Amino acid sequence: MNRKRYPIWLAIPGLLIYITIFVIPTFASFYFSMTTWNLKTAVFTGTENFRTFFTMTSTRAALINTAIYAVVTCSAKVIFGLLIARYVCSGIRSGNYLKIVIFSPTLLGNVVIGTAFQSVLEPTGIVNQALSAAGISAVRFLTDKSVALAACCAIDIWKGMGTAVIIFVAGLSAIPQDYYEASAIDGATDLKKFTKITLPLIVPTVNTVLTLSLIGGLRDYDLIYTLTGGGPGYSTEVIGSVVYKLFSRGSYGLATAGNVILFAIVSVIVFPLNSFVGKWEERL
Amino acid sequence: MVRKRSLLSKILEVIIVLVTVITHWIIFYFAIITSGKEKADAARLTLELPEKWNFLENYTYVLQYQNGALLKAFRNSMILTVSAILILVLAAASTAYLLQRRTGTIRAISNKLILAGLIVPAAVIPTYWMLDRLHIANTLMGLIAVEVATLFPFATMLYKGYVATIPVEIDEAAIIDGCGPFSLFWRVIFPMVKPITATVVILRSIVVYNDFQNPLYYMSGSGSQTVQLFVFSLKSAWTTDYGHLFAAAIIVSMPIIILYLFLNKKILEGMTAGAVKG
Amino acid sequence: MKRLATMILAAAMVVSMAGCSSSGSGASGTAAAENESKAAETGKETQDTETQDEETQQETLAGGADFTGITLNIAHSSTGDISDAYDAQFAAFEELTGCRIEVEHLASDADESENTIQVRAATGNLPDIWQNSIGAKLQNISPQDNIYDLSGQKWLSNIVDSYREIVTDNETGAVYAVPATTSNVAGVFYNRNVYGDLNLEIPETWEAFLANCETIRAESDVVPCASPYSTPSGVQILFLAQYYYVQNENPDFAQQYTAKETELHESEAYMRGLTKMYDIWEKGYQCEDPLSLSFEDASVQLANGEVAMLVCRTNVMATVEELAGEKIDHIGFFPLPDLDSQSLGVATWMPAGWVANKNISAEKEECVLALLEFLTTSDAIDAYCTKTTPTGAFMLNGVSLPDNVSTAVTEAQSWVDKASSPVMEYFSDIKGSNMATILQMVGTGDYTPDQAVAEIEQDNAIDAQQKGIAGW
Repeated sequence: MNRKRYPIWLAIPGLLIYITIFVIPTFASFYFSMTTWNLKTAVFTGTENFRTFFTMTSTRAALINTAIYAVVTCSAKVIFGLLIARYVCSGIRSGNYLKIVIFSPTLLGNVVIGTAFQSVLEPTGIVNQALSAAGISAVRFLTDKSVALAACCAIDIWKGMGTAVIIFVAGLSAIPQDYYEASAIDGATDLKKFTKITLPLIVPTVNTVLTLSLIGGLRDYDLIYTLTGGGPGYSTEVIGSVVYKLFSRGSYGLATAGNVILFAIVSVIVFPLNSFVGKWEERL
Repeated sequence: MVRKRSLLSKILEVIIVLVTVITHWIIFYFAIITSGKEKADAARLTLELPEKWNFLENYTYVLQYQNGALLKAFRNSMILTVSAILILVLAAASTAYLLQRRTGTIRAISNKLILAGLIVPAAVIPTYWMLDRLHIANTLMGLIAVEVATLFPFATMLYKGYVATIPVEIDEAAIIDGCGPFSLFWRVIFPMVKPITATVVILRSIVVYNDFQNPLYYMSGSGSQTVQLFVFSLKSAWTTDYGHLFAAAIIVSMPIIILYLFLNKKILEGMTAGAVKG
Repeated sequence: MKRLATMILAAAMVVSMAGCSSSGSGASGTAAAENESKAAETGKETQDTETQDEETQQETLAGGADFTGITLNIAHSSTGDISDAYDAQFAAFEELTGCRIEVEHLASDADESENTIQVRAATGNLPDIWQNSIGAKLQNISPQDNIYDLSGQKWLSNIVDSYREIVTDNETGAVYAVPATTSNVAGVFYNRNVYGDLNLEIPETWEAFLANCETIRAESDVVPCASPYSTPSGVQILFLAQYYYVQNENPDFAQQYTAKETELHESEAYMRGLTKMYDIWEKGYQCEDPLSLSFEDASVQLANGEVAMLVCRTNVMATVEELAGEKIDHIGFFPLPDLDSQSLGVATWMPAGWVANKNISAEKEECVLALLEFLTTSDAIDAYCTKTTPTGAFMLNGVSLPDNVSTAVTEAQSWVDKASSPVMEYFSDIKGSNMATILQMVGTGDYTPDQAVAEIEQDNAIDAQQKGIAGW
């Protein structure tokens, strides 16, 4: 009965695309990561590529930078995202305006954002013009080793905040109003309402935002790449940009090994962390 | 929520709104104003109005650059976005519906694969190798396939979550009315998951249209550039030509901004409708 | 007279090629990888047998072949004036023959665009014609499988011998490329006014160069050295230009290095290149933020006399012409100085080459060859010069530089015959993925020359291993 009513061919088109373009290459990458490869012939070299990848100076910097970038951007998006969403939903008049404005950077491509911020943050750009008006000497935001990564994080947070806020707003508005009304009768303060009602009920949403932005922070590199190209020095190099540069030089085997390492890192961090996916699955 | 608001909270609100002017409006203003400046004027990178209003010249220059390469890139980006989203919606909705309703090993394995796809990053070069095997490397079709495959897990999870809220009794009623499996999905279920479709269409269109990583790997240098790649190539060609650069950036960003201005309410509706509740 | 001769030659070539493609098309598609000498031979034979056709058809085709309906797809990574100049050449050819040319712009970063071509070669997606680096880099895309062998084309004599040599496969005799643009000479471009005002002499040693920098800094507000390190290409020029002295010290350095018979740090001249970059940083002779200084800004500053010197290639003069044309003659040239005045010389870059797809469809073949030939004629050079003033030699016989080239270019060009060497990339393609980054770090004081060379060696070793070069 079940089979007749729900024939498998309805799922075939989707699964077919997904399996050929995503699943098979993922499995193939384990093999290619152990070869030197020019797209035509692959010579098996065992674990050589992995050893090489870890001896590269750029990798060591990239591992640390990736960790910092992912943790900083992810926690900022979760914490500020929730606070902003809470504020936006608190019945203020400008709620809708704020939602639209905070979401607006999400509409722009990373290349456009990179271009705009590069010129805004130039030594003679408007940010430094403002700083100098305030008597602060110019900061080389994207070319000073000590601030470049922080600048990239800030720009990513600026860009990604909109998505986080919208997801939180959706989560918050799903909390039934009567919970708050009941607690108001009990005389609960705003702070108490937030910690006793909002927080526990918003945990699944927090999980969603946390996982999404952590994965993004670990594997995305295009914003950084358009902003700094990984420089100055290796100060904003991340795993994604190391892999891309190896790809550009034609080192496909080594680049694939880098990708497998990224894959391992993301899995090791994200799978245990996101109990939500498991729960999600159970419920379905 | 109805409650009395103190003066203090009103002042705070005004301040917050003003802060968004600095954090969000200025950069848009800067981009627009710079796109209308002559080269030397634009190179000063100020917030002042253009010395000479050069909007028309800059925008025509950009549109005509390389025999209208930007318009060609536009066409490619449109084909890419529309086809990828169309295929994604149909493929994800039907797969999600089926995997939600069925039981058995295929379902279990598929579920695991799709969950993994939410997390693991794509294997870039082997994907290229696969596209080559299928003879769609460096083609729009290949890129469309990659976009669909990349977005498939998340969209499928969204649909599955929503299909779960549709009672099986509805299926049974439809079958009694004489619906076959396909029309059950197409005429009954698909219309019911419209809120998710709206969310997927809007949010993922933005992602696909603005995608830079995938075209960079799978399309770079091929005849059919996307707008994002095009702007990137202008960026290195016009390192100091900010007037033209920003004119291009603004033209490229327009379609999505317009889409958003019309549809921003729908995004929230879709998400609240049970999509990302967790 | 010469032009007439060229045209007749062109017509003859076109006709013979028409014969080639119609008689040989059946075989040429499948036997693409056949050995080169054989291909060249059969080519000759076909030409001989077609002589009759040639005579009978000459009248109709002498005015220019008609390729209406054919569309060629051409990819290159040049930007700005050079790209415009190419467009002018293509337009002239379209006018002449009625074909259509579609241009694809590859990434302007050299590594990226080379990789794109490499990937597309591996996956059979090459354009009809593309711009390729020549010398050692030509090997990257397996030319015998991917690039059309031009040997036997009569018009190859239009190309100067020195260029033809480096695009010829010594074993098979296959010829792969025609020069796309002009050669480049690297050295120091300086502002004559600054030098005049401060009574400076042209330095002939690195020490004298540094002494000049010191004087400039002490006695004026001018920045001694522009250091446009914001792009991967900008940051590598001084270092690459040093190669003249490296090969002067050991003529076989590149070959020995490729065979892993010597190490980079064993070459004193190689180390001096890194030291020079480090010196300029250490002594504070460069601008405040080299990493955000673009090439364009640096060239304008040089023309304006805001900076005194810029280590660069002659193509900078095209930028100066475009952005500060009235000041172009304020700029002079001298070789990057080294140990002593006796050994002075310059490093050169040969123009990148146009190469054609070996597996081109039969109906496009004659059009492609006609275009490549056209690009070696003075008509094509005239079209080129309508968009930009050349900043080096075209590497074509019978084409001399126009009268209006800037004095800096003439000065630079005068060194080519005296003492010059192509840069290392023509002899060895080993180059790690982090070269530009490492040099940025030398130029901003993060790495000493010793630290840098250790990392370059390590980075290069990875590249060589991944390429599967023997001995690594």
